[in-house]
Amino acid sequence: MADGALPGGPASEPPGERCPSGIEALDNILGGGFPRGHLVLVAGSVGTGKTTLTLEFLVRGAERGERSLFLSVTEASSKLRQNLSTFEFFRPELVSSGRLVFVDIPVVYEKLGLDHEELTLEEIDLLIRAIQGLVTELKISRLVIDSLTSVCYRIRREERIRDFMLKLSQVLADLNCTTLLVSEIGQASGRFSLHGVEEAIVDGVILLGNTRRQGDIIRVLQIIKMRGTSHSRAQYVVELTPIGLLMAPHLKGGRQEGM
Amino acid sequence: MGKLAGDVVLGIPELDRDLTASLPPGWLGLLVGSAGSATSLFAKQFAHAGLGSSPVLYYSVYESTSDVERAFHDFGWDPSGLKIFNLAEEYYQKVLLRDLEISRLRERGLSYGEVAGVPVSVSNPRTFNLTSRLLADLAALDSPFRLVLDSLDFLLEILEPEAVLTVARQIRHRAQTLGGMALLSIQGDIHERRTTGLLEDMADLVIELQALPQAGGYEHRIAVSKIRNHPERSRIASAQVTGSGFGLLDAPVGATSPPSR
Repeated sequence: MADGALPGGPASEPPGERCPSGIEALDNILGGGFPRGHLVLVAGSVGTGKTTLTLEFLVRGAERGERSLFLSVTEASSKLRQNLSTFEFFRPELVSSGRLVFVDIPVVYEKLGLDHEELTLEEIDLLIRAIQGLVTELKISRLVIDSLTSVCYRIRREERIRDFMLKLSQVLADLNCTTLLVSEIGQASGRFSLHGVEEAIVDGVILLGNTRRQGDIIRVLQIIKMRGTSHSRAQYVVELTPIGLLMAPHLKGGRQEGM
Repeated sequence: MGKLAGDVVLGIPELDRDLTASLPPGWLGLLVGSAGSATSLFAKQFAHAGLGSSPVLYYSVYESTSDVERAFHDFGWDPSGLKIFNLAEEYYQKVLLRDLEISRLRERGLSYGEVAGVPVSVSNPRTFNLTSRLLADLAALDSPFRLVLDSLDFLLEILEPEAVLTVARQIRHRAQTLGGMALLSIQGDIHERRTTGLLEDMADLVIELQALPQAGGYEHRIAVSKIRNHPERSRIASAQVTGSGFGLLDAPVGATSPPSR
């Protein structure tokens, strides 16, 4: 595990400053990046680039010397690492040096015996403590949970999800850990999370989607909310390229339709 | 006791004559007893009686393999050929040991070293499907067999009664299909009456063991309280346990009322 931050990393930033995503256009919209220590929902339907965006956020952070943790629920982390290797911005030494860490949440479930189909209150607290423990032990300053939807699927009850989100938010804010939570939503769900309570508690919501323009399907990104940030709510066209996520303003000419 | 073969049922000649004439080729027996009534010894004698003439499966829940073998030797029985399975040990390894580890991690917290590089399991490692475990062994049999499960108490401790009844039904069906003999032991006074009643109803043979305190020791009684379709052959007999296992004393105690549970 690498020690400390690289020059120019977060150690040189005053507290309360920005946590740059490393995606230039996104950082420009956000005034330099996510507010550090905030909890941000990255919502979108299948194939809109949620996982890619969050992975790039971690990789760019690891490059800056920030320790970054990807908690994978839905996909085996070994497969994610394989996919990541196809991007030019990824360097394997980020993983071997311990700056970019992957943990499979199902393994955490297994180790802690969280095997009820619906997690009990005690089990929810154990899960939060486990996340808190990993972030503390590894000195993580960037965290991704992919996906929050899968975690909440096992919490089920809205009041418990609210409690889980509030505690998670508090714990991660205390640790000054900037966190992206992936939220899987339907194409026309009208909300940004499984139960709707998640989006009310988080500090920010980024919406990714597909839209049709002149016969093509294009990816779009929109910042719905970001506390403490004055930002545009315009839609941006997103391109997933080997060098990372590229964004450009979505020109409104032509007929378009949300998907 | 020497080697037994042929139509020997229990290894107690006085009882075997009646049982051989009464029971179908494949049957399920229930051995009911209380602590100290020597159900485990009786079960071993039954298992021994089948050695040499059919595969004998011995499922133990409290005794280790070496304990079972030692008991066989103590009574002059050769355990060679006996297939011994320790269900409690398997349960301990697959469930209880993991529970200990889970408790430790829950109390002390999970460290990265404990989850780093651990592959995701497809199945829940704490699940010990006892039903599947037993049925897989039964399914592998293709000829008459002898089976001992000592005891159902353990199954009733970790499974719902309906699941235990299902296991018993499966064993009975397999015994009927292949001409097997299966003896399941159970303590008669610790389970819900409904469960023991359904097990007794399902069984073709019900044997109850009793140890009555007497001056200087215990008087053992064996009650054959049910032989399917042959109530006239039910009986209670005084028994003794010698260096060669259970044997009957001279005259039957009676032929009507089984010992109270």
